[in-house]
Amino acid sequence: MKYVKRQILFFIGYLIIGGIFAVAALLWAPADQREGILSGIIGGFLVTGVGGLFLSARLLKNPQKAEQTEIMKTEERTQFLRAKTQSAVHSAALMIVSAGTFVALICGYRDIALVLSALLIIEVILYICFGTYYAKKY
Amino acid sequence: MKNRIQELRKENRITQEELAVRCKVTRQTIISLENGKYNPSIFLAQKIAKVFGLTIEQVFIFEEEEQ
Repeated sequence: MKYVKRQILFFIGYLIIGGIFAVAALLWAPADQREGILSGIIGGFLVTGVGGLFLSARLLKNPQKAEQTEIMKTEERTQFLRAKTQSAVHSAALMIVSAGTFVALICGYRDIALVLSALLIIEVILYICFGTYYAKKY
Repeated sequence: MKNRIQELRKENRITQEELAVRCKVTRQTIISLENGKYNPSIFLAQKIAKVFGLTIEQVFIFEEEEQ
């Protein structure tokens, strides 16, 4: 149940942020861009928020299913698999961005190569920062 | 690390699903443990041992070479 309640809070937060953006768009967005911005916000925040709340409410009515879902999402093997997957995806992304940088350079797209190499440097810096932080924490 | 989960489960006539519910994990986790594909945390090992009324050492067999 804890997981479902957390999900509900998350989606309420999502709706609130969507609402704030929608009001801001209505008040301050340039008239010619307002429609696009509003449809983006409605599509991104409001539909996801309402959909998530609807699914969470359905789970609340079925405590057995809610507990199963909570176990499935939070048990240690799931967390282990998630960490492994994220690590593998990160490694693959690093290689793809590195290869992309070289390809962009060879093809003469200097700006793209610069952006990709900046991304690579940021990723490496973040990796070192988080690595140091977790090494100190654990 | 080897374990006696399957053997103990059969001895105690407990299904994978029942063991999973009692340890608050999925059945897939029990399957992975029984197949030796996944090593549990100390907390899960303790929960499993408790279900069988044994100690961790009686359920999980630590092999020296793994060190």
